[in-house]
Amino acid sequence: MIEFKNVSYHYGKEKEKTTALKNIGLAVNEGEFVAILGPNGSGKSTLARHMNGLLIPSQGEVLVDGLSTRESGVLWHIHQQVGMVFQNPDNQIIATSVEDDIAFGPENLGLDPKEIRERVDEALEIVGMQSYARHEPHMLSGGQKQRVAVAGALAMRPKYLVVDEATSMLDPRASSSMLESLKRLNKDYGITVVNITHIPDEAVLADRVLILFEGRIVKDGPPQEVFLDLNELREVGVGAPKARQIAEELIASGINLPRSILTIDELVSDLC
Amino acid sequence: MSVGASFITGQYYPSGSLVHRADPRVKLLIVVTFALAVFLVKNFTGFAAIVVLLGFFIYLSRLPAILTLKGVRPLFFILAFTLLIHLGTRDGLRTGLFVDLRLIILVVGASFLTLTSTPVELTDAIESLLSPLKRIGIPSHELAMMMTIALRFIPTLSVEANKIIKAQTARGARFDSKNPLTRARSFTPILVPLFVNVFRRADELAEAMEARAYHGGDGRTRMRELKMRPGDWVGFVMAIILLAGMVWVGRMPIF
Repeated sequence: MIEFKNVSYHYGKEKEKTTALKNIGLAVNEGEFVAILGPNGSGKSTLARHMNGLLIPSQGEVLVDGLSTRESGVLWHIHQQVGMVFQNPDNQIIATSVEDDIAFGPENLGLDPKEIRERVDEALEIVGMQSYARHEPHMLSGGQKQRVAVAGALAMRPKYLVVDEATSMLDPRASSSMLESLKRLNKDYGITVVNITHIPDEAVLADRVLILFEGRIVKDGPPQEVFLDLNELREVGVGAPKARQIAEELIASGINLPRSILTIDELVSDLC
Repeated sequence: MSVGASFITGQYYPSGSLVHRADPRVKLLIVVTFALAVFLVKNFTGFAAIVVLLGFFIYLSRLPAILTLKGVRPLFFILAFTLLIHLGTRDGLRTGLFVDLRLIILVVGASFLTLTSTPVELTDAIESLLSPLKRIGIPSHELAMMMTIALRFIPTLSVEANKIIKAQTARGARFDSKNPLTRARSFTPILVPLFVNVFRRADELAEAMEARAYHGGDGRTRMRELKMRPGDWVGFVMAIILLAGMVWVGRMPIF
């Protein structure tokens, strides 16, 4: 479980500090697929960086399986438990070949070379990049680079995977394939996934959606619940999934539809 | 993309020969000793012996000879110039030829190294060879990490520079002035955005490295370990003995 206890975070020096997170209380349970949705500047990325100890709260505490990120002695263990994938595919690949890059995390953990090899091969297989093992990163497409980044995190065998806007620089096809693999990692491998995004249609895929606005969690629940009141959503700067918007328009013009529609497939099956 | 592609693989020519499979540390040490020998040799007999040895190495590595000589071509003017200058002095032809020969052998030796080892192998070799010097404060791991990151980002940055050039050209920037000063100044609008991006990238990369539990070289292991096989030792010892012999002969008062 990743637990936030009254977490606040301020950027900058005393005089001109900006508060990015205000009194966040949150628990991400094992096995969950959580989406954190929010407009630009809502504190999403700051929240994500607290989950694996890249940022330490100004007030309050973040606990990963009971270990506080404040204790520098356990930070190393927390980095291993909570894998991260970032937005820019280019700026998170360190080594000059795909397999060397995936090996980077396990190498930092000081594992035996044989064990590292096994983990790299396994991670390559999970993301379907075996045939690219010896490729140079700059020859890959954006979507392939993100898959390498996911594999790099998986090779540390993490319990949690925090994905920070990882699809925002990808084309639509690569981005939906990325989301599918996240879903699969959650279902088949039992990895807890936290997907940070500003796209409502992406958040729909999660079991639980949190909405972050001006550093506060303003909504928390299953997607059907969170996307129910469109006016409220507008006030906190996030839209609704496209299918939900269309459904709302149709309801307004007198067509009888449930307000739980969130995907195009649901909309189609209810209409036809 | 093509600029970047050729840059990162370096000149590596994969022929799968014995030399290619040898430990990169051995190759690196031999080439360093080789360079040293070239400076110690004082007569043509010594040079001839060294050239024969280099030729034998190139033969063993199954490289096309022309490829190893490619690096010499850009040096042509420097070579001609040195020879010309020396011709004016006493015993000038001899010294001039010596300087030229040294340069040529050094360049061919260096390309022999880069043609038979990948940049990654060479980085690993440098880290491993420098690691005993950690005790006297030489940061061998950090140096190797810097080399790796540089190799990783050179192609990315060259693609980015091309993009910026196109973007600035589209805005009317000109890079074709005849005046070298104006031309140099016209690169400011490329360098400024490029540098800003480099710093942003560096920040993000550092964060990604930390997220993957990077904490310097201590307690870190490697997936690919360099291992000296018996053949590596034999080759190494033989090459060093041969080079020592050549230096000995090369310093005799003969032609």
